[in-house]
Amino acid sequence: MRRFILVLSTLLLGLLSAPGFAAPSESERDFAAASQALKRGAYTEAIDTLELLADRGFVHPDASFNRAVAYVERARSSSASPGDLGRAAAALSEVLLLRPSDEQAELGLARIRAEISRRHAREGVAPVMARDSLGRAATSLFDENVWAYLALVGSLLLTVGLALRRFVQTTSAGLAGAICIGLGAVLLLAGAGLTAGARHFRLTSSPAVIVADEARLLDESGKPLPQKRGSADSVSIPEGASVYVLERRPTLYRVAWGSSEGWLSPGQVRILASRFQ
Amino acid sequence: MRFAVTATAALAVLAASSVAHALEVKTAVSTQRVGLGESFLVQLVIMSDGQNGNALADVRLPLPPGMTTSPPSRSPQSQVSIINGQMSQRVGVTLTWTVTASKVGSFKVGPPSASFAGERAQGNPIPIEVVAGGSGGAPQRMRRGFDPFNFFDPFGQGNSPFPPGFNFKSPFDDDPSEQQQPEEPSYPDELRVDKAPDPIAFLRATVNPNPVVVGQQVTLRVYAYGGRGQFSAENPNEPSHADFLTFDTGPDQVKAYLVPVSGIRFIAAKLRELPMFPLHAGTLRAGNMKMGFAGRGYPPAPGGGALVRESNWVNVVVTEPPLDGRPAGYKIGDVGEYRIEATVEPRQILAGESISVVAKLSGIGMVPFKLQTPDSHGVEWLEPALTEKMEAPGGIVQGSRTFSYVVRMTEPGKIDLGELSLPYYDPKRHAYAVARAKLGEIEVKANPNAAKATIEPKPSDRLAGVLQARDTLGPMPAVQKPLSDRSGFWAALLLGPLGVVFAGGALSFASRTRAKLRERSASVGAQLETALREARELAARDTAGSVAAVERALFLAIELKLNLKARAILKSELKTTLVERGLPSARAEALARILEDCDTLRFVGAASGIDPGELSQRAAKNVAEMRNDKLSPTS
Repeated sequence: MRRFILVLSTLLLGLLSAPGFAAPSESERDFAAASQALKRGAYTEAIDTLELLADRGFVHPDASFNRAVAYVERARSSSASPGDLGRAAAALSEVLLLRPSDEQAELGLARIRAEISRRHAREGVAPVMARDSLGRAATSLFDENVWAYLALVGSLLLTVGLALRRFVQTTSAGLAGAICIGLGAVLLLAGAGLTAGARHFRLTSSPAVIVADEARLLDESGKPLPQKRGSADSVSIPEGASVYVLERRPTLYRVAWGSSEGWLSPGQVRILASRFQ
Repeated sequence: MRFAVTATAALAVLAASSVAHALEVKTAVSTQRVGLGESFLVQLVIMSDGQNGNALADVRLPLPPGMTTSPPSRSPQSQVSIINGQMSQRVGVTLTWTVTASKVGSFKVGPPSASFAGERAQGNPIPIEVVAGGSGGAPQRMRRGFDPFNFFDPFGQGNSPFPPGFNFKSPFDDDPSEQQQPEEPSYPDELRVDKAPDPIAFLRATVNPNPVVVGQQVTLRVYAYGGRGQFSAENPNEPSHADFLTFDTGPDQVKAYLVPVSGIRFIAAKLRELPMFPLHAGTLRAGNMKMGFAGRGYPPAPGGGALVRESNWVNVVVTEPPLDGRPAGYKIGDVGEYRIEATVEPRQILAGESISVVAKLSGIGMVPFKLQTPDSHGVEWLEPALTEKMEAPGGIVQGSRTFSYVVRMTEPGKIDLGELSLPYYDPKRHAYAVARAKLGEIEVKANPNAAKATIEPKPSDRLAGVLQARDTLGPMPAVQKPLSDRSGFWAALLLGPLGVVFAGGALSFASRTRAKLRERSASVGAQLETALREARELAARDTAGSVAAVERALFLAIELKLNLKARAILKSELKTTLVERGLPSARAEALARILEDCDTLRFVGAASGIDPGELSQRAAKNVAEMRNDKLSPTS
């Protein structure tokens, strides 16, 4: 009997010490609690828990995804708060930053933005589109590391081409060298330039999403910024739009939206968590 | 005792009347019982809003027979009041008559009157009893609280600048009796200043406590100090507080005190006390209140108007409450000490009906405007109606807000409503807490008349089912650090191409150098042959030319063999140098001798017995042999 108890205790200890039985971290517990709250329809509670997780610096695409779910569900409920859809869009944008291959997040973000546009259109507000500046658009075509690898390949080709031209004295080697030099130089210049551009944008601006119903661009003193063509109307950024935060002050953030730049109240903008935080 | 009685009598501010809607008129007397032959003071104080000017005319004090008076003294007055954060100023005049009684009996003095700002102001008649024997005991002075140098309270309504027992001599008071026994002044410690930044007048701003967290109360106080006596406040502005939410405490009670600073007696008063709540973190600024000091002792500003002084800025260091221990749902700014009481009724309803939940959130701090409501399926909380009662006793903002919710219960069953809650940060305990109120259960009976609630999404609900919550945290995507952040990335880009370029360049250089050296060697050999040939050819007809050719041939031969420019070496040292470079000693000696013979032949000529032909042959022979000489390794 004693032997049996001993064997049983050993087995139990072994099982408990296995990785599958490791105690969940505080963040995992909070995530589970938020998921439970979502299931029972306590969306605000789920939002509070997931926001606290984010405040503590916990960055995970699934936590951001569930935050988006909570905001969307609250926006659909009778306890909807202004900006819920914008916050959902921000959470999904964060998911895509952290896990670019998340198709569900991509689809959800498109649907949420469409819903925001539809609601604005229903209120008679014309949809406003803003395109990124050429440099930002070019650098954001691919991940920064793709440009970096392209530059490295260009460098390699250029090296081979130069070596062939210099050290091999045959006609075919000279021709191959010339082709390699041309192709390599183009790839190197383009790749290095785009890498440098992407790096510059990454270091000098933070991606963010508008979480207010409508965010009016302000000047540095906090007055509404007039439109460029002299119109009296101010420039307004719609909820859920992607912007870049260029500078942060306690009461105002300087943001770039397409080719427009201006200041916004910090409460109107949600800065997305980055993989490199 | 007698003094006390007299003082009590003097305290009697007889009456206040308002003869005109814009004027405020008060009458006062130093005593109502005087001795025969003694004097007493009668004052008429008129204050107006100043809109119609401050012209004074037709001053009258009707006196009964047996009393006499001289023309009244006039003293301009200024009064500042702060109501709802707005400062307003009233102007006026104090007329003081010194009346002497010369007949015993009961009399009625006045009413005093005057025209001020175009309106007639009339005080009240004053009953006076004159007793024989000079036993009235009335002091000749009015009480301090009535002193016109109390610039904030000319009426002496309890806002005396001098607290009870204060007997310090006023800088404007020439009463010699008080100079004999001066007493230490008494004033609040908050007015104490170690050093006056300006001997004439200054404003001082302070804030307390500091540092604080976002939403915690700080109190901004601004004090005015005038070092030249009585002054009135002109055009005071509201202190700056852009980054704070302020709580209006209503009109400030302004009390003035005499405060000695750096040997100067300042009239000092607290102008403003403003509870404020920082809106965000950072080093926030407040203060910078401006005010004009007007009075006889205060020089006007260079551009005209009263002497303007402004207070200092104060920096408030504001941080966010700590993340450690922060409860879910905490909103930045919810700081204080709170509790919630809630009532729910009725407890039994039919599905589709609503209940009432009334919650009272009370405590110390800027009571928040929102509570956390529990949400669950079948329970809809509508926006609450809000009533509030906020006050600031003792400068501490506190009070309550009452939230009246209508909660619609849509599904039958025993529904646990959960609890109302408010997470907040308690700065006293430096910890978070949660105020809660349990709401209990509601019995919701099925409503046979109610339309069945549709669970299906509305056609317009385009977001239904778009996102499905995830139950577990999936694997975290691998984070690849950007290559461009690695220090070697940019170098690696250039290393290959530049390496090839540099390697090619180096090889070319080496090749060119080798060729040059070869060319150079070939060149020296050719010159040597030429020199030997010339020496041989010139031996018969040009001794000097032959000698020079022999010398050149030897030096070229040495350079070719030893890579040594021997022309730069003294001939006396040549042999030694050649031996040191590894040339055999015999060869070195032979070469040195040939060079000596060259010199001899050049300077002595044929008489020297040296044959140029033989010399050139000897040189050619040694040059040829030297090419095959092995250099000594010891060189």
